[in-house]
Amino acid sequence: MIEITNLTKCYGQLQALVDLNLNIGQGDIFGFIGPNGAGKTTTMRILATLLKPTSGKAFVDGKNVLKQGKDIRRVVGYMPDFMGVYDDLKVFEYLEFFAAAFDIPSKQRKSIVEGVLELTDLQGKKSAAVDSLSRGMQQRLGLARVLIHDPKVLILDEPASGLDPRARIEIRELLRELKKMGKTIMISSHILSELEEICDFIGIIEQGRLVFSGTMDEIWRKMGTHSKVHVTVVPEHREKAIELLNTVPEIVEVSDQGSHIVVDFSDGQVAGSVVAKILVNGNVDIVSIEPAKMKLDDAFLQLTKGMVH
Amino acid sequence: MKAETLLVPFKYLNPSRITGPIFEKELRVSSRRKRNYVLRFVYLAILLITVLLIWKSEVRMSGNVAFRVSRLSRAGLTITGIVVLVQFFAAQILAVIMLSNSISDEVYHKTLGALMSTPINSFQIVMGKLLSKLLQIALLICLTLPILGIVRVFGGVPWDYLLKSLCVTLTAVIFAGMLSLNISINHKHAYVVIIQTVLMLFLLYILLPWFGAWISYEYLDVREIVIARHVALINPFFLMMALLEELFRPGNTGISLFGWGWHCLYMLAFSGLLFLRAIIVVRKKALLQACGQVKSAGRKWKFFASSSKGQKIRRVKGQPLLWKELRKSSFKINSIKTMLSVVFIIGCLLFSYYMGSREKFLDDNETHIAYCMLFLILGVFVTTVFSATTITSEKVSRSLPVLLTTLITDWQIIRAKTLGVFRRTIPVWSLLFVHITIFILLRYIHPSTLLQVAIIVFGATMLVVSSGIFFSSMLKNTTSAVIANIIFAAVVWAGIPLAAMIIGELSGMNDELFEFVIAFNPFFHIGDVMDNASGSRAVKTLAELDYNFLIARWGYWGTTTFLAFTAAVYAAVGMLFLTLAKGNLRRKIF
Repeated sequence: MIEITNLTKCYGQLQALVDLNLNIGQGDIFGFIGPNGAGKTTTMRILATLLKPTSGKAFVDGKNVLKQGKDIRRVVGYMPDFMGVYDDLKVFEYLEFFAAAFDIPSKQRKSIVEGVLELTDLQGKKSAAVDSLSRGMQQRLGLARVLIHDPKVLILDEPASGLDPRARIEIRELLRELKKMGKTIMISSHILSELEEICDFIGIIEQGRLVFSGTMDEIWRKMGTHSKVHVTVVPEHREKAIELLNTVPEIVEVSDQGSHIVVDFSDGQVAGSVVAKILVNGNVDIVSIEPAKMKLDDAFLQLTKGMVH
Repeated sequence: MKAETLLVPFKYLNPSRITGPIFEKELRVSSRRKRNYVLRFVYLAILLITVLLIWKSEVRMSGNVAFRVSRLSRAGLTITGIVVLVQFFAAQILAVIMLSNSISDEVYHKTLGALMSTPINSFQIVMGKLLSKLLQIALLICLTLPILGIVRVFGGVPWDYLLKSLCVTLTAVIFAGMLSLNISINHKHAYVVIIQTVLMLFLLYILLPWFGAWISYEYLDVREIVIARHVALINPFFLMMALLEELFRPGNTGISLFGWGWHCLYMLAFSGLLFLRAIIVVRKKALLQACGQVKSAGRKWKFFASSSKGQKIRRVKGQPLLWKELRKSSFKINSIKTMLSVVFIIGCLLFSYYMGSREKFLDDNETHIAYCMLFLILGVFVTTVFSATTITSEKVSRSLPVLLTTLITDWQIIRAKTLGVFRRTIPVWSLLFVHITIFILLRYIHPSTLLQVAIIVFGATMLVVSSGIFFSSMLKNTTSAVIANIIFAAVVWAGIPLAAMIIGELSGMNDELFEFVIAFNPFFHIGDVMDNASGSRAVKTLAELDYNFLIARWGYWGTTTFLAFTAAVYAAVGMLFLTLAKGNLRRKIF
């Protein structure tokens, strides 16, 4: 649905994007991560036809961002990182204004606006002035606006920034709902745990370069977390368990972490079963065996160097 | 008594303690702003042109030595008088502009609350802001001192005139600056502050003294000279004119001899009161912000507040942006202040009509020239300001990116914004058209002028609306766009005629070039139209009307065709600006 090839964007001497390549399939939720100034917003603005790339190509739904801007605007719903609102409009008027701006016939507008208000849980606010809404409500209104013309692709630049935990959870639920509706979503966020929960794919960008792109599983594999297991045994069997595990040739390292033992395998496919077999045969009482979990924050820190332009 | 106790007063009088770090910060920031250097350049250029113009017109290289020396002395007087006057006006305008965002910037960048959590107090904030700007204006005034010093060598200019005018200028600048700073506490946009300050100065310096003088003369039987002396005490414009007159005709006015010192003291006292008010209000505002309340509720009139709440949802009809722009009104009567302002303006207008009928000058063509000129200036000024806010307001509120990702085309945006400005300025333009209509009905103005005035207004508005939209699309900041558009209008309708006058003088073409340029000037047009079709000429037939354009006398239809041609030229230039604005729209979004 989104295809980016060698995309480069320069602002004078500054290279905001350098040969960016990216593919996002239909119905996927793609999480875009990177430090401030890494090039996330620039990429999103190019896809939303607000910026022209210096070189390279970008396609949305098979349409070229440089040549078919109007066609792309029809299929894209773009929500900027800071959404400006018109202070002299009411919520219903605001949404109807954008419905009209997307050439939706006047007869259909009312029902469509009512529909997105219901989806974003804003029915009670339809007569409220847009500028009187709280930040969370305005973000919801922003989501309602991008949905008004039923776009195939949603480009959401930090939709959860500045929101309280409840509002963030509600936005997350809404995104899941949209995924079920078959929307392709490109989302950037600084709250990495959120992306971890809802995204199918992740792209990590730094200094305009994509340092990683793939599924969540691929990111764990790259980090090496797939080959680690956490083993918890009864305290009196811990030393015996370490001794037994150290005899296995496939195990690279065994380390005692106090509450549990971390076992690092050279081959992640056999990790859990090998550990279980050896410990059971050695009469060690096992409490639990579970694959090591790494947080996206840790992956982000490992993959990026914290450099900005 | 301990030495430390003795030093306490000196501690409080320490300049760095009085101004605080705000003063240093403001100076540092302003030194980085390009526009300050541009302003200085423009200021010096205006002064230089003025001096050149006067020199050319006053000094003759022919004739005997005695004649040439006497001309030099005359030139010295004229240059000093005009430079002082230009400086007096320009310094006040600069003070109003430079202080128009002094406090509002802190309020809306939410730094005022943060400042209050430091040892800096509201006195230092206000003083730091005021002094940093006044220092720059004082620098500009000082730049002219060498010119005046050299000119004085020609003879005829007394030192005390320079001293008096300098003091009057400085105190007027402080007062205008303090007024602007006070208004900026409650208004986000600098252009709103500028407009309000100018209106306030107009009220304080022109309307109130005029009304007071009239009451004193008519009902209290006070002598004219006494009224003049009292007005001079509180009105720097009046005093400056009196000083100028005294420069050319010593001992003729008798006003400035004892008035100027007291005037300066009064102005400083009024500025002091405004300063105190600013300290109190800034402190309140800062504390509110520190507590998380940015917007003050303000005193809304209950009747209007409740009616606006209960407004129905309006359905979008036709092209959406056009619908949105056309539903905007230029002003909303939703507070007592706005209501009183509207009542006051209408009251002033009706009162002036009453005075006109009482003194029997409503049937005089000069009266209608003055009214129409005033309304045209007002209309052009408001249109110039409103048009320059159209795109920048979208940029500032960050709604432009969202708008540009819809299917609304760039031309639709430009068209809607243009029509929106026309819609919003209707109330201001209605002053002109209502005036003409009323006096057509009273047979004081010829009915045919309505068409001519409509053509003049169309041409002038097309130019400033499109240039305003262009600057608005080009610049990021609303205030910069407004100032750029005001300067553009001033250059087109005042600067170019002035330049034509200078070039004409220098090249020996005399007035030919100036008259050619002025023939395309809407302010000249309206003056000429009213001169030829109002007052005693209002009852003439269409065939009897004749106008003086381009050194020729034209009939009604010839003149109307020429006006239409001028309007078409303005509209064509306007279209060019709109095309450029369209090109800028997607180039400078963020």
